[in-house]
Amino acid sequence: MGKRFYATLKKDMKIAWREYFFHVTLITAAIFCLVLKFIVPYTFENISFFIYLEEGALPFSVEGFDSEFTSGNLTFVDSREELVDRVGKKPESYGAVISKGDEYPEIELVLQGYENNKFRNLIELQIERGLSEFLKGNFFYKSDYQVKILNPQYGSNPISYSDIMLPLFIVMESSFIGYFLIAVLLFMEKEQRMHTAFLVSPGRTVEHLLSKALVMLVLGLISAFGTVIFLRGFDFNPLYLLMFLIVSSFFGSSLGLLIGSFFDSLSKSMLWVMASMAVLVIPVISYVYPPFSPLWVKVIPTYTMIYAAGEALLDSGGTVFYRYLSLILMEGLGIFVLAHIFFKRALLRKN
Amino acid sequence: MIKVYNLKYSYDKKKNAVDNISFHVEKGEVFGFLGPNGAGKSTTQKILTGLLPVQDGEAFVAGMKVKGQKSEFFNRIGVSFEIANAYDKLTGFENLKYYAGLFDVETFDCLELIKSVGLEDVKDMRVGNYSKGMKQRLIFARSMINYPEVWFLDEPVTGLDPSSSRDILDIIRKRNEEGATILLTTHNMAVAEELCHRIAFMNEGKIIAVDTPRNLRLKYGEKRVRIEYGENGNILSEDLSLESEEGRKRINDLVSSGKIETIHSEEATLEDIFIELTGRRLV
Ligand SMILES: Nc1ncnc2c1ncn2[C@@H]1O[C@H](COP(=O)(O)OP(=O)(O)OP(=O)(O)O)[C@@H](O)[C@H]1O
Ligand SMILES: [Mg+2]
Repeated sequence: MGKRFYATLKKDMKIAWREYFFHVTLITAAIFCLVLKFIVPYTFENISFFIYLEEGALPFSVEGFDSEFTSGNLTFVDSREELVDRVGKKPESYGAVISKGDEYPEIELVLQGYENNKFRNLIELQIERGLSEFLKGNFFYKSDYQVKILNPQYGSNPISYSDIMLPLFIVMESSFIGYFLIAVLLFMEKEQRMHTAFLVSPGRTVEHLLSKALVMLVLGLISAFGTVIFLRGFDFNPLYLLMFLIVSSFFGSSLGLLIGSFFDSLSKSMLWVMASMAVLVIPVISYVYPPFSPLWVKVIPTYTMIYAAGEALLDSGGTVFYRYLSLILMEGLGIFVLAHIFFKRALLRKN
Repeated sequence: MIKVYNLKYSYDKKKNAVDNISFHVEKGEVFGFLGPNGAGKSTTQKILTGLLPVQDGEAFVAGMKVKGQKSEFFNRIGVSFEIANAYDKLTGFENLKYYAGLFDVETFDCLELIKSVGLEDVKDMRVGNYSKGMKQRLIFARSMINYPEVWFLDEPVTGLDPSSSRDILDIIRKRNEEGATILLTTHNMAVAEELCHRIAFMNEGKIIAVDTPRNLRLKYGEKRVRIEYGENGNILSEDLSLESEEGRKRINDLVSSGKIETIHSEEATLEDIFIELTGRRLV
C-alpha cells in the first residue's frame, strides 16, 4: 500500500483542486452558512402557538373569550386532543394546555421534540407574554409545568433553525459531495483514456478507488466542520462528527463510484444521478415533517443518515448513534464492493 | 520472451480482428509488426498486455501466461499506446511521478526521463496544453519508467517531427542494447528496417510473413535495375527485372545500343514486398 496509495492520493488531490472541487465545496458551505445566519434568522413570527384553556383554569373569567379564536399567533382550541393534533400537523408550532391547579393554573407544554431547554424557555416566555397581553397582565402560573413531546426520537437537545437544518446539510451536502464529484473523476479518467494506462501498471483497483473516496472525505470534512463551527461554535463533539462523516461520506462516494463505473459518460449517467438523488432526498421531508415517515422512507439510507447526523451533533453518544453508523457502514461497504466489481469490469471494456 | 500460439480475437463475434496468429520473440529482440490500418496489430498488443482478454489460443510474456496477470507481470512490462493518454490536469512531470509511484520495482528518475524525450521546457505545463507530439513523447517516456523487460510500443514515432523521432529511436535502440525485448508496431518502413531484428507482416488479422528485413527482401524482393538512356534527344528510363528472361534481354539490347546514361540497382523496399504479398499498401 504505502507509496502507491500516496502517489495515487496526491494525483487525485491535485486533480480535485484543479477541477475546483475544493472551491465549489467552500462556496456551497459559505452560502448555506450565510443564508442560515443572516437571511433566515429564527423568529417567532412564523410560528404558531396553540392554547387550550380549560374551563375554570383561570381564577377569573375572561371577557369576550370564546374558545376557537385567534389573537396574534395564539390560537385557542377546544380540547387537549385537538391541540395535540394540530401541533402534530404543523412542524413550526407549539402548544400549551392550561388547566386548573390547586392554587395557580398548571401549564403543560406540547413540543415537537427537537427543542432544547433554552428554546423551551423561550417558548414558555412567548406563551406567557402572549397570554398576559391577552389577559391584560392577570396571569400567574406555577413554574414547574409538564411537557409533552410529540416526537421523542428527536432527542432533546438541538436549538435553533440552523440546528434543525444542519443535519440536513451535513448529509445532503457534506456526505453526498462525493456522490457526484467522484463520478465526475471517473468519467474524466475514462475520457482521457487513463484507465488503459492504469490497467497495464501494477496499480490496485481498490487503492485507485479508495484514494478518490478519501479526497471526497476531505471535502466533506471541510464542508461539515466549517459549517458547524461557523453556525454553532465549538459546542459539539468533533469525534462524533468525524466518525459520522467517515461513514456517511464513504457511503456517498461508493454510490458515486458505482455510477461512475457503470456508465461511460456523465451524460449517460445523468438520468440515474437525478433519479437516485430524488429518492435520497425523500427522507428530508420526513425529517422536516415527521408525521410523514412510512416504512419505505425509513429504509432509504439517507433517513438513517439524517438522524445519525443529528445524533452526532447532539453529542449524545448513545447506542442509537453507533447502531445508525454501523447500518450506514454496512450499506456503504456493500455498494463499494459492487462498485469495485463494476469498475474492474468496466476497465476491460472499450479498450 | 513472448510466445503466442493460435491467438484469435473478435470484437463482434463475426469477424476475427486477430485470426489465429502464432509467433515467438526472443529475449533481447526487437520484433516489428507491420501492416495496413485495421490489420490487427494494436489488437494483438492489447491482448498481450492484458487490455483485452484472451478469447482463444495461448500467449506467454516474460515467462508468464497472459491471463489474469498480477502486479508482478505489470512491474516487468512497459506499454506505449497508439492514442496518447495522460491526465490533462497534471503537468507532464506530475504524470510521470504518479505513474512511477505505482511500481514496486526501481523506476527512472522522472526529471532525467522527461529530459531524455526533449520535454524539459514543458515539464511543468499541464498536459492538456501539450501538442499531440509532446503528449506522445510523454507517454513513450512513461512506458519505460520501470525499465521494462518487455516493452510494447504501438506506433511510437508516428506523427513526430524528424528530430524527435530520431531521439525516440535512439532511446529504443539503447534500451534494446541494455537487454529489453521490444515489440514495435509501426507503419514506417525505415524505422522497421533500422530497428527490427525480425518483422511480421500482418494483414486482415493474419501474419503473412515473418523474417529478418534482409531475408524478406531476398525472398520476396525481385532484383531490378533502372536504366536511363538517351533517344532522339530525350532521356527515357525503364525499370527492368533481372529475374525474367524478357528483362535480361532488354538490358542486353540497351547495353549494346550504347545509349545508356545511368544504371541503378533497385532494391525492393519492405513496402514493395508487402504490396506484392497482399496487394495492399502499408499505410
Ligand atoms: N474497440 C473496438 N471495437 C470493435 N472493433 C474494433 C475495436 N478496435 C479495433 N477493432 C477492429 O479490429 C480490427 C483490427 O484493429 P486494430 O486496431 O488492431 O488494427 P491496427 O492493425 O492496429 O490498425 P492501425 O494501423 O490503424 O493502428 C479492425 O477491423 C478494427 O475495426
Ligand atoms: Mg493500431
